[in-house]
This record gives sequence, C-alpha cells and structure tokens, in this order.
Amino acid sequence: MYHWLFNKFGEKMANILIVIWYLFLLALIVLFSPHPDGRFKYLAW
Amino acid sequence: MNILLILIGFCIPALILSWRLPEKLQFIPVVLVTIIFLFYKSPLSLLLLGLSCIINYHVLKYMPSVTAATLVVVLQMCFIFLFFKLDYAVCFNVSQSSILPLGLSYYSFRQIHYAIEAYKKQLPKHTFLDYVNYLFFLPTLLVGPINRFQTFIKDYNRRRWDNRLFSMGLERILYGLTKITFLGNYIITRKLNTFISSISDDYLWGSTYLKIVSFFANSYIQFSGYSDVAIGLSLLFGFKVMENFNYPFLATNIADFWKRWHISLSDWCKDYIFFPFLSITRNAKLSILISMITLGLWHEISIRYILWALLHALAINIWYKYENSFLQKKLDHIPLLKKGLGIFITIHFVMFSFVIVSENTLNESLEVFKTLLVLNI
Repeated sequence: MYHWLFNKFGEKMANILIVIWYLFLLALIVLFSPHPDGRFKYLAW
Repeated sequence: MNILLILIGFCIPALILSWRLPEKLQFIPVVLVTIIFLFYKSPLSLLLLGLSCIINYHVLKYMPSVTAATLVVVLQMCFIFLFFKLDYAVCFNVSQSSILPLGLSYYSFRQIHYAIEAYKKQLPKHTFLDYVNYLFFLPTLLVGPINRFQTFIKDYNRRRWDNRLFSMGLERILYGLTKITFLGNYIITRKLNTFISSISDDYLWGSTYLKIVSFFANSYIQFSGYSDVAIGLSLLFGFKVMENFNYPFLATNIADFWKRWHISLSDWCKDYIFFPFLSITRNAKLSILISMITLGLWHEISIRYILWALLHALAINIWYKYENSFLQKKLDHIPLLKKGLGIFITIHFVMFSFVIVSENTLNESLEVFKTLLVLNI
C-alpha cells in the first residue's frame, strides 16, 4: 500500500497518510476491544 | 482477545532481551518467557511439551534403529494427542475441564513432522537447544502455523536485526488485531448476528443463509487474524513463518481451496498422510480420503468432523474426476465465467459444509439444510 501511496502522492504525503491509516487501525482496536469475543471455537485449544 | 493480549505482553520482554543480548544467548529469553507463559496459563501443557521434547529428541538421536525411534515418537505423540482430544484426561482427573492443553494440536504435529524428517534424513545439523527453540517459540506455539523445522533453523542461523522486517511485523500485528476486534468481534459477532436474529422470524431462508455466511466469515477472520498476529510476532523476532491463508474465498475449486485455507495443516497432511499412503496403496482416492479424515480429526474427534471430512474428500475426488470434462473444456473459452462460477460454487460448498460442524447436533444441521432446500414448509 505504501508504494502505491508513494507513487500517487509523493514521499511526504505517503508518510502522513500511512501514519493516519495506522492510527485509524489502532483506534478501531482500542474502541472495539470491549466487544464480545467471537473466537472460532476450534481455533487452537 | 484476552489470551492474545497476554501473549503479546509476554513477547515484549522476550523481544527486547533477545535483541539486546549477545548472539549466542539471544534465544534463551524467548524459551524462558514461553516456559513462564505456559506455567501461568497451562502447566499441564508445559509438562507435556517439556517431557515430549526431551524424550523425542533423545530417542531419535540415541536409539540404534531410526525406524523404531520414529515409530516410538510418532506413536507417543499420537497417543498424547488422542488422549486429550478424546477427553480421557477428564476421566483420569488429569484435567478438570475439557479444555485441551494449550497448543497441543500444534506442537504434537510439529514433533511428528520432526520425527518423520529425521527418518528421511532431511534435517539440517542441529543441537538439542535448536529443537527446544523450535518447540518453545512463543509466537507460533498457540495458534500455529505448523511451521517446519528446516525453515525455522535456516531463519535462526540467518537472523539479523532488520528494520524492514520489524516494521512489517508491527504492521501485520496491527492488521491481525483489527481483523479480530473490529471485523470479527464487532461487525460479525455483534452487528451481523444481531441483524440475523432480528429478521429470523420474517425471513427464515434469508436469516439461515446469512447465519452460514456469518459463521464462515467469522471463522476465516478470527483464524487468519490470529495467524497474522503470530506471523507478525515471528517477524519481530526475525523469523519469516509460512503463511496460513491465501484469500481462500477466491478459490476456484475445492482442491484450490485447500491450498489456500489453513495451508500449514493441509501441507502437513499432504506430506505425511497423502503421499505416504499414495506410495503404499497407489490409490489417490483413498489417500485423499484418509488425508481429509486426519485433517478433520485434528479439529475435533467426532462423527460430525468425520462427516465433514468425508464430504470434502468426496468433493476433491469429484473435482479431479471432472477437471478435464467436456463442460470444463467448454468453459475454457469463457475464462471470466469459468472463474466466477468456480468461486461461487466453491465458496458455497465450503460454507454449507461448515453447517455440519457449526451446529451442536447433526439433527440441527439437518434442519438447517432442510430450510436451505425449502423442505421444511
């Protein structure tokens, strides 16, 4: 994804966008962590 | 989610120490942290893994007959696997619940792989500590993939600090956690399942179909999310572990699906069940059947998983029989339709086959099939 952003918007903008993307993913993880565990029951143990 | 966060939490000190220490001592913190983790979460698993690791290595190294040594190791691991999978442990009060020792399914299959490779003389030169490192590698201990010893040792000998690999690892963990928390737990388990429940009275067929889609999607997202975290953690330690999923929902036939879904397990079954049986029996159909039954029983030892495995074996055999049929050749002229049709049929076959294992009883599965075929009106 980074290479695509790099080619499309240049290095500086690509760096900013990728950091925003990672922060967005982190926010999703933090916000939705309290929701019920939907673990596939035969996952590992 | 809990156990995953604990796993990541345990990996952090191991990671810092393993990159700070001199090269020869780098793996000691990883092994120690794995021992502490298992002692904390599943002491029984620690005991089983520790004992089997010591016994198997020394049996394979010092027993005069390689064949006998391999047989001892394989039978021993099969016995431990079956003993806990069949819940005999509960009868003997070894385990107070039916929860399996953590990671048993993975480390027992890893040790069988190691024994067979030792028999085939395909193992690189290594020490007991290398074998311990391979088995006590925390990132892949609980959720796989069933990585191979040869690749592990190759990475172990070549591993150097690499900024690119480290950032790839962090990114992979981020994707895995997002898949599990947002897509799996929130969108599917909470939102989609609530929606399905709300329409189930008015649209029985639609809600049944969506329930099947939801189970398959959740299984894929959760399992591949956990694999992403395991692969990401391994990358942080400097190991490129094999991929476990490769867009299985894009498989154009059932054989292709098994090359894309739980790749490490299907590869294990191909190498250690399918090819040996094929060379003995010269019967591909029977070899596929036995491989699929092994694959099914790995998940759970039950009639429904045997049925599920039989269905998949039948589908693979039918696919190979009609792979070069007249209809297939006709469709070759319209590649887009052939691909689209292949994906549609494969994904629906897989999702419907999951009904057998997603419902609590076979009767409930039958009811779902009746609803889908509009037979219960």
